Amino acid sequence: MTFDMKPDPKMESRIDAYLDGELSAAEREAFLAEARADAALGGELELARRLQATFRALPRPEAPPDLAPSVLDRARRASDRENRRPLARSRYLVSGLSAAAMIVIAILLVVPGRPPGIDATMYSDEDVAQALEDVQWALAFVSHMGERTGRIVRDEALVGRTIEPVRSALDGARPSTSDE
Amino acid sequence: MTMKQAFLVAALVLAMAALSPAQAQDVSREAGYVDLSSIERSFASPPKVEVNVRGSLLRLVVEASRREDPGLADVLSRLKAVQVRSWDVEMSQRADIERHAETFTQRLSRGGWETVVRVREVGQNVGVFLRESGDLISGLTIVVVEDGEATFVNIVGDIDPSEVGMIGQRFNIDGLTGVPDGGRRR
Repeated sequence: MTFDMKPDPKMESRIDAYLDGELSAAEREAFLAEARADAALGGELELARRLQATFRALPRPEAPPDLAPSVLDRARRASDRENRRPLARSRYLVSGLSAAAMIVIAILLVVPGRPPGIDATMYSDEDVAQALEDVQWALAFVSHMGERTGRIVRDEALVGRTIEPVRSALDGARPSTSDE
Repeated sequence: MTMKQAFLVAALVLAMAALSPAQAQDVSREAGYVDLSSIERSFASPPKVEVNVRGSLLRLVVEASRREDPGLADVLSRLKAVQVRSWDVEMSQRADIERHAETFTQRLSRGGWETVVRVREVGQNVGVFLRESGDLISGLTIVVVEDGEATFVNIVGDIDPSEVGMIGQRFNIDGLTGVPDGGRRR
């Protein structure tokens, strides 16, 4: 695969016009015939179609009402900056990146009921319920072992080896209360 | 910029967004993580209880518990993984299993895990280990070998052992001995 580092603005604008439905029926037929005959044009057209289909196939979750205006504003400002740069001549690149940025931001935001980054479709409600029970069980086990080891330390180390000997020593040291 | 470059840039942006959550789920790189597969190889049969809750599933569990038990959700939200393996142990296997457990715990000690409690007496062999990262506890591992059962638990994340114990007290520990045949498998 090779990359054409020099953009052909005429080709790109014709592809844009075709994909945007700006051509008449006769112009469309002529353009498609030319694309079939010209490998370079045909290749660029195919890539543009795939890019358009990819963006259209992405899910569009609901975004909070205050998100869209700020994102669109950023996209417009980014688009203005890009249009002033000599390399970014393609409207398709600007709109494609803007669309990608908006879709990524929308996907990363909280889908109602699910925190960002979680693929909710991977696990069923039963999976989650079972996992919750498993985690509760694990924490119960940790607590249970903590109590058991605590009792062992208390009964063996503290009471058996420390408290009782000290008590015995104190009892032995207590002065006799009997009358002489 | 050509269509090919535009397509590649857009694909890169989406790929980075998709990759970030996956990288965040690589809990095996956490200091408090213990690979329990090494102890699995010591047993001839699969564990009767196997729990692996991490990543997306753990976060779903946090959300599922948030309404009913905010305290539990708060504790779980700081965890990164919960792993459990438990086997039935025949009396004839007890000595072998204890040796494997001892090797396992020695490896923990060499790996920077601190022994909090170690109880070795007739009928039970219990070890509780903590892993610290800086001032935080990043992992808790419990090894229990006793008459009839061997259990290994590893909890990864920002752990407050007293909090975990307090939360755990609320759940029915009887479930530990009443695990059905086949247990919980993931």
